[in-house]
Amino acid sequence: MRLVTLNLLMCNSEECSGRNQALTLNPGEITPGTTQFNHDLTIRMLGKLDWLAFVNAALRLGHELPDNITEADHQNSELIQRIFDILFNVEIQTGELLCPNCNRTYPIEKGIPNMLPQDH
Amino acid sequence: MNIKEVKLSHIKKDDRKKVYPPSQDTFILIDAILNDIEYIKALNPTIVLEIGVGSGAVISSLALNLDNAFFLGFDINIDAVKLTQRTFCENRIEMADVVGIDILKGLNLRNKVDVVICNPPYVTSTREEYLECQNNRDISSSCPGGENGREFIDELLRVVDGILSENGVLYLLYEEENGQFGGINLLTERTGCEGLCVIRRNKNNQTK
Ligand SMILES: C[S@@+](CC[C@H](N)C(=O)[O-])C[C@H]1O[C@@H](n2cnc3c(N)ncnc32)[C@H](O)[C@@H]1O
Ligand SMILES: [Zn+2]
Repeated sequence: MRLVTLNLLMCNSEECSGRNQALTLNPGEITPGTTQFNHDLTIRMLGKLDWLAFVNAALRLGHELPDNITEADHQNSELIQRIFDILFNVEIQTGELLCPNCNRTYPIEKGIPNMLPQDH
Repeated sequence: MNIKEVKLSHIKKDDRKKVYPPSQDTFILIDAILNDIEYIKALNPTIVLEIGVGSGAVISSLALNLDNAFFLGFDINIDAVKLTQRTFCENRIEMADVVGIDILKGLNLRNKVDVVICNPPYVTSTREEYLECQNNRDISSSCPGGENGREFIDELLRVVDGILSENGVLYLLYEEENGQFGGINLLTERTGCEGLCVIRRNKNNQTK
């Protein structure tokens, strides 16, 4: 799973539905991705992201990003490339997603987050 | 136009016991979507989501023929999610992630998804069987759709209207006896199969 996907997910419990609560990533094994840079897709994806949640998740993996992105930044290819790499080329192989609202945790195994309840 | 075909030869007998395998309806949905590829390209989608990926045959077929988008595959059956990850790998599809998730239990993604694809559980069953199979979260969740086979679809449409972006579209396969859901019918006599329908439907079924 990449950070782009983390940013699009939320707690899969009915109790938390509609809250738009970002999940906290406790990363385990991380591997580098090899996806080829795509400027246009990055810019379009920026319009869909919860930027602050992304900044926080990136920080937990040691990547610092500015608190906000302006239109002018879209021309800054170095920055856009860095955003692309953090969004698409950080593969979270194992770890855990924590919902700060209900304290449920969801495992990530072999690169797959499992948001299904673990009661059976 | 040069259409790339998905490779599915890695799917073995053991997989077919645990995951809804590529079937007649799978290929009808693939054909309908690829026939509509120019429409999809014109939308310039950023996020494409398949709900209920099963083996991953449908989402992979689109990913192979559409650049510049990010693909997400969801399924309630974790074995389906794992198999889809392998299908991506076998087809060298990189711009894609999979998640084990019940789409009826709460999704983020409000107004974010540009294309949603779904071959849902649409087979008529009792409500009890539908609910029980949803609870199983395994291959048995693939088919039972509740009364008139449309209980899942009715809930799905509510969810999809919430997650589609302003110009987003849903590609949905269902059976005639499920009823009608609006949208544009994509099957012609040549591409179709008795009783099955594939529609393209806009957010909130607005006609555009
Ligand atoms: C008819 S199969 C289609 C599989 C594949 N897309 C294909 O066309 O071959 C329906 C799929 O939906 C999944 N599904 C059923 N209920 C679901 C739910 N509530 N959330 C996510 N996926 C679900 C099933 O596990 C199954 O893989
Ligand atoms: Zn929660």
